[in-house]
Amino acid sequence: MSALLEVDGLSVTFRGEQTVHAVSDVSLSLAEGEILALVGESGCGKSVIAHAVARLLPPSAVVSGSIRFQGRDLLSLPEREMVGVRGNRIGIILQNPSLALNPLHTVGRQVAEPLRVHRGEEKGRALQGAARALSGLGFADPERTMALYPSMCSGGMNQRFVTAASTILDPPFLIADEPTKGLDRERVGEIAEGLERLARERGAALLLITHDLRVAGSVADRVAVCYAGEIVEAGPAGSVLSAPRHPYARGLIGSTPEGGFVPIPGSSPSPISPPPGCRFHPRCPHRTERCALEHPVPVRVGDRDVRCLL
Amino acid sequence: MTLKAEEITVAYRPGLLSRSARPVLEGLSITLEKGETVGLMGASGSGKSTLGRVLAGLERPQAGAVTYRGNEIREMGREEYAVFRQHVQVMFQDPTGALNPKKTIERSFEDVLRLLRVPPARRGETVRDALSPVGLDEEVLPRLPSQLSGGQNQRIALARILLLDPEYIVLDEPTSALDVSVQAQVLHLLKDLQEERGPGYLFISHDPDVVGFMADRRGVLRGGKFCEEE
Amino acid sequence: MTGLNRWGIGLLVVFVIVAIVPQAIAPYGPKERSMPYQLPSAEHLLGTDDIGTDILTELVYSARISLLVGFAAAALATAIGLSIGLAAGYCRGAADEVLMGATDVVLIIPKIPLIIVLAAFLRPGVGLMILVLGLLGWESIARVVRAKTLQVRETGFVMSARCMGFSPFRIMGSEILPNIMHVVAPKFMLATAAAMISEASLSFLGLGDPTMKSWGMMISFAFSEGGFIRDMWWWYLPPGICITLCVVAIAAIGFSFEGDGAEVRIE
Repeated sequence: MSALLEVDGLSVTFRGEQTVHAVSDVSLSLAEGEILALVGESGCGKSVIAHAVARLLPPSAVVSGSIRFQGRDLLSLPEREMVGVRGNRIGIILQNPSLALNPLHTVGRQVAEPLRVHRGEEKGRALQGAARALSGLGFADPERTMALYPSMCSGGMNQRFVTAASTILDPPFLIADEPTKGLDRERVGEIAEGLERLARERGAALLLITHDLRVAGSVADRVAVCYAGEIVEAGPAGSVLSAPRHPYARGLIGSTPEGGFVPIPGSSPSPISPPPGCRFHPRCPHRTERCALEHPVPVRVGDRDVRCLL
Repeated sequence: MTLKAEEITVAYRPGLLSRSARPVLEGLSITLEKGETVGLMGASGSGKSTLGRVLAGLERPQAGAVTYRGNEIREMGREEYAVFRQHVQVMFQDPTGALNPKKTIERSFEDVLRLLRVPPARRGETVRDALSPVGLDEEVLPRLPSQLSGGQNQRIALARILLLDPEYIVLDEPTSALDVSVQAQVLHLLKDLQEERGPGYLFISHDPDVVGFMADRRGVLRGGKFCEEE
Repeated sequence: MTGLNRWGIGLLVVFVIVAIVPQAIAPYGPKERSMPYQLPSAEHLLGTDDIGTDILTELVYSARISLLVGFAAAALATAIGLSIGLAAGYCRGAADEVLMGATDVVLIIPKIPLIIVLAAFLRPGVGLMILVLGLLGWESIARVVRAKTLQVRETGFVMSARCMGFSPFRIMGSEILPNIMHVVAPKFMLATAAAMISEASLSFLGLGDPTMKSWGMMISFAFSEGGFIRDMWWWYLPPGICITLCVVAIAAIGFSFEGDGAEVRIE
């Protein structure tokens, strides 16, 4: 089965007063219908990776490496064609749904928009399609819902509208960037479940960016742990999350409530000047002298890839 | 030495001409002791923050009284009230709101030191001593809160509060906005501090795991009252 | 900083320089006289007025007064508005009601008739003008300051400061004030613009200080000394244009501030 998405050696830096190394040498692949969760804490670069794949980075970003989607190199695609890919073949669900929706248009119009823009469907049929999408997301009375304006609806509802709009064209690949951030427990569960169901029903691949390990564990097939712009461990969700091998991944699991709130000493390195050698070594309980000098590359250990010298 | 709230009622009346709204807190009583942590949970908007503010003397209840060391704070004389003020502090959720965004960290510390009448010669040392228990060093001093991470800001706010050596700290969702590993750091920090210096905490959070980890006693705010769990 | 802002600042800087060192720019001294009612010529670019003073020189020296009154009155109004707004927003309750009541009263007082009445009893002068314009121009500043203060008051660091026992004055001045300056600054600029216009109107009505000429006074003299009748546009137009340009520059600067976002995030 050829991979749907193949990212190889992706690096992203941001130009500015100081160069920010957001992402360094990231490689990952996603097969059709697979759910990959990219986990990590604030500033680790996971969101940047998602934006890089969708080609939504600001002009100050310098991108190198390759991103192949359905065999095509996305990075060299002209923007005009990229616009055709987004929405049509890559569905993007970003944070903060209220900002993604236009307060002046009805929900129905916005959910139907992709059908009209990408497929050229005329209004009536597009609205029917929108109604179908909304009922698929759990809205009992789609006709009525479509007449509402985003400002009348709750955050959770808006999130589902954005999801509907992003998935209405049945793209084979979905990117969800922190869809559950800032929500309380039950909502998080609902949205995660809803997203998983959506992906599975349509056989779509899902790249899920999240800081929430619980969500990653329950939804994903595979997990990649991100730290300081690198992927430090990647493998099947079950085994990585229950028995991580990389010291950072171990520390992360340990600091969760289930893991006993065991803290990792120190703080995340600044993306402007990452530590030499292994980026985690200043905080690693197992570090040796080598770790400060050599920069580890991913190594296959059992069922996963680990970026560590030990 | 206890901090007590008795029969507190707080209601917000939106305007003079409208009917009075349902009280946020109604006949609520809660007691805090030094060295122990009381966990407070409840749905958002249930008045947890309000209770925190009332206990710290930042908000006046319509009915009921807050007593500290046996005396009602409303009736305290100037000196007594100053003691109360020193010994009951509050730490808030939004880490960037906890510090004045226009002041460098150094300035923020200096204000407190000046208040405590620490002589200028000893200020540098005092600040360094305050930063080390929270795991930070001098390099944060010349920065603004916006240049530091949420976890760092939270720890600085805590260090500042500790300068006053308070007997009670009301912690209003102190770790909700933080990453998992940073949260673990801050929680451990709070626990260690409690062992060393013995302040009592009112720990307000919506996360039952966190409350379970921190609290000696806990309860829920329901119907305007504090319902303690057995 | 938008492009609009750059023009505004540039223009204002020109005027300020003219106000500070008129001697360097004006072709003649302020007291020099020659033949009155001259038409514009190479020697007198804007001609001369009814007593023979070079109009261009007058224009240059008047900048000082017009700008002085504008900024000083705005400064006074801002100082009062800040004090009242901070106090009302911070103390709330009874103090707030009283202060806002006072604000409403001031709002109702008509400025120009008041000055006319005062002028009848007191000698008109720059000082009086600044005082009156300042004392009557603070209410909108007070309202804005109060609103922002109410907001900032609820942030964590202000509540923390209250907890730590800082005095209310310290909190208002050191914690709240720096965080509301971004709304005060544009109000100050707009108050300056408004004060300049008011001053010009009052001077035109003859209520200004005859010993210290402003642009408004120039237009007033032009009117009363026959400049209008004789169509001496070089006398009454330039001051008007200067007032307009100055006010527009100041207003542009004031409006451009509103683009800056507040750094205090309110939960």
